[in-house]
Amino acid sequence: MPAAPDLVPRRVRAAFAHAAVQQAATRIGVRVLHIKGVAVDDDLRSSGGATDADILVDPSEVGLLLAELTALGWDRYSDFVTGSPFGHAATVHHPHWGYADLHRFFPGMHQDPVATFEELWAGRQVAEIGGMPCPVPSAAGQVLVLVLNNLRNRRTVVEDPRVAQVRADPAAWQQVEALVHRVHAEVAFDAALGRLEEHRGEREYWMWKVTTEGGSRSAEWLARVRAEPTLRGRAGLLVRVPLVNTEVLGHQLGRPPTRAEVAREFVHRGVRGVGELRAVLVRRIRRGSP
Amino acid sequence: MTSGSMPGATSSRWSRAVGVAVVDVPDVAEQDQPVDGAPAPDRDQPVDGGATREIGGVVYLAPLPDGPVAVLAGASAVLYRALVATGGEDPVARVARDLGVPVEEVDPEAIQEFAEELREGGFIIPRAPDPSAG
Repeated sequence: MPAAPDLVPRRVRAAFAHAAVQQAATRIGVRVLHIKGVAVDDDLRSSGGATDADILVDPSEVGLLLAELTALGWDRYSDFVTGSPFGHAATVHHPHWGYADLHRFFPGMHQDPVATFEELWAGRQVAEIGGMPCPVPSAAGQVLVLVLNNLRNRRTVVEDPRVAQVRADPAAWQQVEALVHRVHAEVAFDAALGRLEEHRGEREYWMWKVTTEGGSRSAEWLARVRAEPTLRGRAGLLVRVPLVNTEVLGHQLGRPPTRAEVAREFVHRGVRGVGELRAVLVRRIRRGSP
Repeated sequence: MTSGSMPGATSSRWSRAVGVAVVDVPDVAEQDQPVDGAPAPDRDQPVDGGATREIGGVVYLAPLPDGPVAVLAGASAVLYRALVATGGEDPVARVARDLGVPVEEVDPEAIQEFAEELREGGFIIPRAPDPSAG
């Protein structure tokens, strides 16, 4: 009866990952909201099926949950700092449940992660995932996550039939727009709907400009730096730019990387970064833009 | 399966154990997707020691937090659903209905043995009697 993990479909494992994280969170009293994939209403679910579990965690307690999951046999696959320019998620892996992405905020509604979580938590509903009751955002919250996720992955929002059906329902769409304002997601939301230019000059503008139109990883980082409201945040991001994701490097190698390998990767990333920055500057000089 | 008299099978009612997650895929076509790059499983390919996926789909049971996942395919999935059903239907009748066979062809003793196996594995527990029932 017990099955090897590779005999269990990924979306089934993803459902179990949601349930397992929920069980752990409940045990230690940490609030989580299950998002994307198997956690969303049927009307909003993608046809491809989920491959991992995405979970938005109360940002003030995400460390507690990570420690609890580690104690339960989950491995840290990637960390917040090294994972993405947004620094929003850490990935953990369990030999039977697969991958879970723990989000401390969601890009696009990241201005005030604590207040945003409280807002989404206040509107929560309960879904059954893997036979376990799991809190999920309201219908409007799920649509907003879908819109922002499409934006970040450069997938069309306007032509997405799941979004179109919500837009066709004025009352439902109004709820989404109201939530956008409450979680300060106006720039990203408008970027997703093709109205980014209305926000030219605002702090987040370049971040979504790069995201929607494409750019190098360095350009993405620099846009993220420009979007940071505080000097401390900007400095933190600049320090993070050259960091090597040792967790992912270790997974690529199949073992913990040696100091020499980390150093080599650092140099290679630095070279790539310098090359990308030089290319950006050359393009700007040729165009005569600042 | 052969007919027989095993009162335990029809009188016992079971519940999924606390802490066991479940994903029930009654429709085989729904879950036939590649697994980590592996080819989709053959519809007639034996799963878990001989059961086929032609009838009954698959029930995945996950004892949290450690696992591993138990896979009940075909007739095993049908038996599990009959055991934990909450509608009050006789498990033997339900198994016969789901498998499309006459009731007399379903062996209640086999159902009871399967229930005991699941109980020993920690997947199901006896359901508490309903105090409102006469």
